Amino acid sequence: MTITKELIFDYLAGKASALQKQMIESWLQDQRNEELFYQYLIEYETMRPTYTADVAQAIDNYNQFLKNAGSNTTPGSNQATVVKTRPIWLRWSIAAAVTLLLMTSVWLLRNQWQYESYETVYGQTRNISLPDGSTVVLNANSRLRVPRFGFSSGPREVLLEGEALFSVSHTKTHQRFIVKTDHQFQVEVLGTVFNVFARQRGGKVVLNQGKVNVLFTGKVTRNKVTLKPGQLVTIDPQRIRVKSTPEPEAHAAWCNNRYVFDKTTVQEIGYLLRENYGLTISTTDKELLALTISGSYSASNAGELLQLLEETLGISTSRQGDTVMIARPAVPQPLQ
Amino acid sequence: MNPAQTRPFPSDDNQLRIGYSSLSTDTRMNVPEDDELFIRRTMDEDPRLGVELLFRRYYQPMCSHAVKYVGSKSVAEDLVSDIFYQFYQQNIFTDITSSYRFYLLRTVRNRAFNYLKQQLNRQTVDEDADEVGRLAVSAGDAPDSLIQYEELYHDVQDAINDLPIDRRRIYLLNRFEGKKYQEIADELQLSIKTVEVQLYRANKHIRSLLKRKWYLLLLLLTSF
Repeated sequence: MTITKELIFDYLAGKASALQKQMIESWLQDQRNEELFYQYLIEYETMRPTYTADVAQAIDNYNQFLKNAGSNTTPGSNQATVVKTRPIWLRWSIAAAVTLLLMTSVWLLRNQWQYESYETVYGQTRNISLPDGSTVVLNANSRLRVPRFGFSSGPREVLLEGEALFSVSHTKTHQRFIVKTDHQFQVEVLGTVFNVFARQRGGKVVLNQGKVNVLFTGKVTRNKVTLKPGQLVTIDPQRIRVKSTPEPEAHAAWCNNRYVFDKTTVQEIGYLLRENYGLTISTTDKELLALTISGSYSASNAGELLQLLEETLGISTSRQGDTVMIARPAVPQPLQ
Repeated sequence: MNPAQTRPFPSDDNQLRIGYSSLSTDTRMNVPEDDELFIRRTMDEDPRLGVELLFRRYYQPMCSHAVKYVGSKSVAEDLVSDIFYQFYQQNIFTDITSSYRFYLLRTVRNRAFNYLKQQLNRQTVDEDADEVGRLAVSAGDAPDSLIQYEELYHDVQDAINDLPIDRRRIYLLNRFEGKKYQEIADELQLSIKTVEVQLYRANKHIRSLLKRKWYLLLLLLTSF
């Protein structure tokens, strides 16, 4: 009986009898047969692969590996490869230094990799869709940071600087949605529409729909307020006030480039200009700052807002860089 | 030494290769056709391209073979890639007197065997990797009979087949596919604890089955 390819295939598949195995064993004593055996083996593995390897990728890796190693050894020379090794203490020091550097940069850059950051410049608003289906309209000169990891599991936490209108979708697992601010309060909700204002001059939360908890993190007497729709809470460094508002939407009118004023002073509009457009109002006539304005106006940029002030209040404005001078029209403008 | 001089350049009689000095005519029909002729020629001119051609031809079947021993795709691929890497980097190709296939397959089987041996007997002191590479052809601590290679991987396959079906599935996802516990738990909708327990039992079963038969042999092999 001769050793055929079929017999070897059976043997490789584990189907050879004890007698056949013994024959193959003695057949393999001859190195030429071993050659043949490997040829069959390759054929067998090609015909009946255990799995398909990614050869192209492997070749890429292999060539990459050679390229990297090629710089310090010269293949083609017949010398045994000598790999230079650094002393062990030096290797450890380098490893330690690299680790330290890596950890430091990870720590310093943690905000970059932990959070997806959405920012608006002066005069810009932006619509943001969050992974959970909630939407956020970010007002000008504001920043919203959303964690890249773990946002969808556990409480959904975002960080806000500036102003934004949140429309939070309710999840099946009743995950809380938390808006954190640097201004001594945070807002917790399950699913609702509300406006959060967190800037230098204080904080404000206005609830349109649903129910939210406002938690105070600063040194204030109360630590929690639950808002009902139509209620708003303002947070000053000194005190917290809960009020009712007939039109909660008015507080988020900025989303549609509208401004709703209700006996709003020029001083307050000045804050608005500074916060949203980076402009500072300046005047020699302090009385002008106490003038008030009421009504709903549409203005898509700072120029239109200033024009609106001119028309409704009968004052004149002039812009010099980031400063806006306001004056009574009766006073003649000095000639240039 | 110039490899071109030590190796007979392919001529009409190129079926014969150096190293088979006692080749007699009646066994010549058994000798494989020299299908590596082209690669051999390329190797003389551009070793790097030559090794790449070998890689393209043998990587897939070698991985397919190695995985039968080591059970893990990534381990098999690392093992095979490493062989090609050393083959080129240490100029092993200049010393080959057999076919390249002969060297590559002997080496891959040997390393797969050694890997499995280490897995079964973790206390074993690792051989110096370079030494293994050099000794591979000279049958270092390989089993004394080639047939034992097949015996071993068939035993590995049998041990895996012997597992209860769910445990086998988890074992293969972990070992063969290289998936993490968490990924397996997600995929099969099991708790991570269950996956851990099943894997622990599977490993224990396979190790004990293999050890029962191979322990003595492996012990002998590792003792020198």
